[in-house]
Amino acid sequence: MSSVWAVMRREISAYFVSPIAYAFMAMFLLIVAVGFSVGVTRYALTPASRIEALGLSLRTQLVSGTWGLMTWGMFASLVSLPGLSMRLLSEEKKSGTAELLFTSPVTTMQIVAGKYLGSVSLFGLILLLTLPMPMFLVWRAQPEIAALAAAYAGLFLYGAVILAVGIFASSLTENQFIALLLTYAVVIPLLLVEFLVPFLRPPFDGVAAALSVGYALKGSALGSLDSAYLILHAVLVSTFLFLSVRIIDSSRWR
Amino acid sequence: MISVDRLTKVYGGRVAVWQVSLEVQPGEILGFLGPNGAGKTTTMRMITGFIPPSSGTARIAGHDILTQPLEAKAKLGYLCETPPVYREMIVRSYLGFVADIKRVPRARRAALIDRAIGQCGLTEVAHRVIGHLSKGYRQRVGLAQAILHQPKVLILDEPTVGLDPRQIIEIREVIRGLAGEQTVVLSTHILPEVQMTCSRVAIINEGQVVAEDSIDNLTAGLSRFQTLRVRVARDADGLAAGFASLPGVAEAIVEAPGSYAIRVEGGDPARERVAAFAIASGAGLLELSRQRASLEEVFLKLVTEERAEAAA
Repeated sequence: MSSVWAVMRREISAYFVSPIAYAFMAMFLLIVAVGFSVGVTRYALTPASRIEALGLSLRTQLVSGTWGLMTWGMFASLVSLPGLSMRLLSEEKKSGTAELLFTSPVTTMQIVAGKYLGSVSLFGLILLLTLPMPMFLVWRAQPEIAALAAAYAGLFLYGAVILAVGIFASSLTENQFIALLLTYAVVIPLLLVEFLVPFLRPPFDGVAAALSVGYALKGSALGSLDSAYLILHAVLVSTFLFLSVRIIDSSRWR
Repeated sequence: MISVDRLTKVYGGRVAVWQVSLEVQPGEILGFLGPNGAGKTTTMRMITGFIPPSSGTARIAGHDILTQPLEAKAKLGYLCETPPVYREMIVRSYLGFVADIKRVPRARRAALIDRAIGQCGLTEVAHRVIGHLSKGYRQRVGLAQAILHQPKVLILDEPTVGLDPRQIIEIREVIRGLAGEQTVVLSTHILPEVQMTCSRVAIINEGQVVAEDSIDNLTAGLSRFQTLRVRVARDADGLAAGFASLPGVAEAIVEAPGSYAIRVEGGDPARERVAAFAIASGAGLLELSRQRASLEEVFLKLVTEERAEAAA
């Protein structure tokens, strides 16, 4: 466990000296902040009666519809998180530090877990940096706190899946840019499934919804976090981490 | 301390290392000598568990690298060809990270880091970013990383490559200082390096160990004996015995009818006598050539490589 901790700490500190990581962090915050401004402005311009006509309480609507933390947060995650995960394993291979890690008394699983947790922690930190925005809402508009918390939890899980895909892509290549593109190639279809749901007949719509990472989030923005989606996230994350371990071990066997 | 048992690595259809076996005693410094591309790095990567062998295994301080990898790796320090450093880290925090993944106990952590920094002459740069250091210093950081946790076994892959002469001397001092407390395997393609640092040498060529002895014995053996190949037109009984009876000839072996391998000790005069005898016997000398032992060939390759490097 202490090895996982050591790898994780090194990973986090590496982010803070990497200009690329800062660029992707800034991108995330920028997208979310733009979404926030647009949402608040539009909300302020919409009469209350029209919002109620949509069947949502004002307080919930503040979080889910108006601000659209989910929509914008998902978009921001999709764009910027692959940039944070792309170097996790690629860089080790390229710079030769993999020889240090894999000749030390640590298992591949510990290395992958440490690196993954490092990137997830950084994402947690980025989410903390967005907190002034919901705090502004709390100050001015009394939104539903539970809905806010669920939205944040949902977004965090969403990012956790993207990062797991990212570390898997990074295990496949020495080239960070290829790892970035591979992550997009896996993550984007995983998200697009959501848009198929309304067009499918049962039981296929249920299957598509269960496979869709984004679908879970829309629910969480309304204050409900479905356990089925929690399982989906857990399965996706552990699958991609497991695959990364296998890829690393098998490439060493060649 | 290190026991290498018939390690073999085959990539696709190409044999990189074939049945390499070595024994290294505690406290010994073994030089692993071979021309570029002979399989030194591949062998070391297998011993350290970085890549698995196609067959065979290695034991580090009694732990099999394949079945007990974590125990074996805990006893191991490894400096690979390019120092495995994170360029964005500060020397001291890098060594701290290494201490953590090598499972150095908390209580000894700071003391061991200081010791490695002192031993490798890094005191002045301990708070600098590794990527900003010169190649020589980066190599020393790599060495500090390898010796940090006081491993019983140290594997060093070309530790002096790319350094200037003064840095080479400094690194060699550090390595020599380790003899006795640590068991070291050091790979190199530079002959004098082995003479200066190692007590014993294993020579590898085209993936196979061709000789293993003390360096003095090896060079003495090389210069003393030559093998001549003699071909005659008309073979006669007693020709082999005749060759063998000449002064300076150690041995004469019939390789095929009319073809002899003659080991001579006396250098050129002995060769002259062999030639004179072959002609005088009336057997019709067709060919007299000097055969190179495989070991000699490796030495030649090593020496020419070194000359080419010195010229460059």
